[in-house]
Amino acid sequence: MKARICYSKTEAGRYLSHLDLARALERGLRRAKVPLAFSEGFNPHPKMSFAAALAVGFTGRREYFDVELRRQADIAWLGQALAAALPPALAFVAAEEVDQRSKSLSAIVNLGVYRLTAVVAAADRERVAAGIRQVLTAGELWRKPKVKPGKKTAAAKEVRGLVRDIRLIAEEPAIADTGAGVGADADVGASADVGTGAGVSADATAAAGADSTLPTAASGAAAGPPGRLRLTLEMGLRLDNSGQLRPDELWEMIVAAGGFPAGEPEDVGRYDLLIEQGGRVFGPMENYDSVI
Amino acid sequence: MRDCIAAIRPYLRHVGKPQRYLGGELNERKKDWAKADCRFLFCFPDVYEVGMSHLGLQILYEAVNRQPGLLMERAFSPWVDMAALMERAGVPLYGLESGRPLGDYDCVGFTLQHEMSYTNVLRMLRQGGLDLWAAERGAAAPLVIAGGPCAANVEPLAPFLDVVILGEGEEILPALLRVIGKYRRAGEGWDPAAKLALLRELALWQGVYVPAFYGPAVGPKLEPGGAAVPVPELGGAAELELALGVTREPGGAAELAPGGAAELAPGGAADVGGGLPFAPPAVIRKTRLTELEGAVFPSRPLVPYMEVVHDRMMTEVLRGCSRGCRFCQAGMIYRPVRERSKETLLAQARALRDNTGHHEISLTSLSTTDHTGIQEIVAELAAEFSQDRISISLPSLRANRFSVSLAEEIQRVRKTGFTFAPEAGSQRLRDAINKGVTEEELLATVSKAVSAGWRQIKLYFMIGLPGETLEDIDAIAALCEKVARAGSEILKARGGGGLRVTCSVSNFVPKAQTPFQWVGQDSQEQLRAKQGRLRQMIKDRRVSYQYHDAYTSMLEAIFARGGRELAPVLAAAMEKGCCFDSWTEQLRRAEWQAAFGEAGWDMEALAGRQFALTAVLPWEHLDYGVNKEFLLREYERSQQALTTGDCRYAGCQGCGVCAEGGAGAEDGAGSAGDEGRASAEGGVSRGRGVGDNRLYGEAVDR
Repeated sequence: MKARICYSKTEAGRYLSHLDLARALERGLRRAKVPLAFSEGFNPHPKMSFAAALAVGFTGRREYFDVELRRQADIAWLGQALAAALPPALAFVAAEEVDQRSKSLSAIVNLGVYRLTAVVAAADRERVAAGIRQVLTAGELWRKPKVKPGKKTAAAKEVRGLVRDIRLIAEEPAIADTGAGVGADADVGASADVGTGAGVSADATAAAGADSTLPTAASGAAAGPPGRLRLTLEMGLRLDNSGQLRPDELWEMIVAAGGFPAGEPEDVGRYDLLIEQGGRVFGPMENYDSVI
Repeated sequence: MRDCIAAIRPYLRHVGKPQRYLGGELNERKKDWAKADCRFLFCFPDVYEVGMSHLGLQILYEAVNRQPGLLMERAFSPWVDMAALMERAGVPLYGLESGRPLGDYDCVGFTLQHEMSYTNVLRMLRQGGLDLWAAERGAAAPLVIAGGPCAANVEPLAPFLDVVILGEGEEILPALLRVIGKYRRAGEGWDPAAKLALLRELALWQGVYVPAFYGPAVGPKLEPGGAAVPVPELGGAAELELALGVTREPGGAAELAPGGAAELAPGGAADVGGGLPFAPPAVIRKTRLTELEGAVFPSRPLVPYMEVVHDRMMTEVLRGCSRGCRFCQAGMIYRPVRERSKETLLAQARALRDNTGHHEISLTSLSTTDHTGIQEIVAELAAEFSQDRISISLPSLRANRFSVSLAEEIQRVRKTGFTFAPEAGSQRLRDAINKGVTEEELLATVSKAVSAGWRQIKLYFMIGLPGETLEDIDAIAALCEKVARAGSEILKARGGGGLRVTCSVSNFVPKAQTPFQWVGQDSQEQLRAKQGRLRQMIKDRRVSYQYHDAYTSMLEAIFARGGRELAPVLAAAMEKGCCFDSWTEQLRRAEWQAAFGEAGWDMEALAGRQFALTAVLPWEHLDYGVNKEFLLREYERSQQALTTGDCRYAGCQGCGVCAEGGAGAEDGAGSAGDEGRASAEGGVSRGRGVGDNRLYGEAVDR
């Protein structure tokens, strides 16, 4: 039997890597006493497959994986058992049985919907909108080469085809309530070596800002000058074999195109994983569809 | 309340492995801070993924947090990237459960697993905002305690610590915390007199060492290895009182502050002395569990999200080892051997499976295959766990007739390598270190293992052992080649390839409380020459060779047998940036060199010093039950390459541990086991409520 599980990567799980996440789910299934099917060989592992990996630093509202069981099990029972067994970083959303021969999630899911929150000067409101327009109307978009110490440099890449849509869905005055006062500490000086080896790259944005303090999320908000805006952008990004574009990378492009200073995004999360096919957009579960 | 986790959150995306700093794991215990009588922060002086692999942490977490009124949280050394960020941001070291800064706790405790973690201990104190030196910390600071194997000679760290636990911690720690809580809650926080009274009370417990009460009477610089001798009411104790600002009555007893003072006194200075001046015991004896069977066990352990070094369930099948390898500190300080029953182990394994979801279970101990029921335990566990593809692992195997069938059971789910530790290449040297394995046994076991399908064998050796000659080094290479040849012949007959042998070589580090405690370490030149020779001698291409850094081993040796004179060197090294010294790429040789040089010490001379057999050793006052006569006898037997049997099979060898709590070492000789156990029960008895702090005080024999 094959089950499809929908779950959330919660705030407590934000910094889990994809491997951490897979391990935590496997342990949850084991604690729930789900009769897992295993691969053969010297190092047997449960047959689980994921829709799309989620980066360190992102939450995920509706994430999916398929798992094969070695015998038939009641799907309602499975859901309840797993819901009770998952650790604080993960939350159960839904489960349904899928055909054993159904295509893998990674073969069908081709659209990720992300939400990104960032703080900008209220005076730059129009520049943000202009940046979004420019990105959406650009003939091509070039992602900078990714340089990480100790890793192979990823070449620059044209990614316009991966951007399906960008919408500004919320804005509110930014109040100095983040960073718990630390960000305001004047002694907290920046240095370029900070952030090496981190899963989440932060290099480019710091350069854009005049306030090159320690690159905290809320460098602007914490200082609390009047006229700051907290914007939430929704981005539909295509997931295909040619690779993924990260929403924070896209935000950098918007910042560059709009020509306004901005700190790093305060928050990035994946809001949904969807299938776009023949003009229709739907979810990977029959009973839990959601359409943008 | 200050929440340090909230404060560091904005920085997390700029550090490697942010999950280290967040807590929130499955089975985490968040106890009510306001309702706790004593708040304890357990500090592991290494990174999260090392500390979270440590069974001791999980045991203590359970032992303390199961008790109403006691709260234990965790802190690990932040890795260098995070440490730098926290320092710049002004965020102190904090507990993962509540996010509170270290200074908020009543008591802060370090586990001392190896000497190379000492600079991390100091750095964590600094990161927590405390003064390094116990005498300078003042009464308001948390009490700083430590325990673990390095307590067996804790002298290099002694001036930084208020209290050291000698021996097994799971019973005494909750009792200790309860008393600390009582003192801290009484009256207005920590007043100096209360702190002194607390330390005086604790100093009388079996298993508790209060370094401030022991120290040189006058202040000339200690000679290398100069021992700390107890000088009550002079030296250390008086200095402590001075530091705490306690005024003294003519009688010598400390004057206690009014209000709550009377309640604080019992068990301390006033009671015990009966009018006499306070006199801490001349020798501090370790505390230990009488039996393991009913001891607290973490069957609902913390399950980390990130990958840790040992990512698996851990059972403890037995504690202690009486094989008597002469280099082995654990084999001396954790005596006697205590087993858990098969029924209990299987029940604990099932609970672990249900509560963790791990896919591997490790049967840990110093020598797991010595458990009297190991065959059945492994067989039943394998039968029950294999359908869920839960594999079983053992730390290492003894080369004997059982090990292959055992290994086959173990590896039903996942097949890994086979590991043995002959420790020395020649029979003569194996006899001298009392490693009771013969070449025939090893070769026979390897042949069986290869026949059963293994293609990889790992062999552990040590170089620099006392009495070692170049022939012994050559014998390591010869033994590895013999193993490779024997295994490959079997494989060839079946048409397979060769057997791969890994020869892993560490450098001998003489340790306190062992028969080799008097012996100096080989010089750096000697160690490097031996490493080089071995590289030359190993010509067989089936054998791969790994060895340890000699410099690290030298530092280890210096602190393993050093005295308090090394404390300023440690502090200086830490100030110069030394930290994470066991991580080769972090080891700062120049800084260490400078710290020793400025203090006027020659590092190689310190590591290589040979103690006279009559010398008063720096750890002379720390008693782990194995008596000095036994250690001396074992050292002499080693020089004649005579072996000593295991008391489980060859009768009592008179180490003295079973007589602990009784009259003297000689009583234990001749009749092992029962007699010693009875007297030990009269000392530290289980079951009489761990909350009863007087238990430990009564056990002291003065």
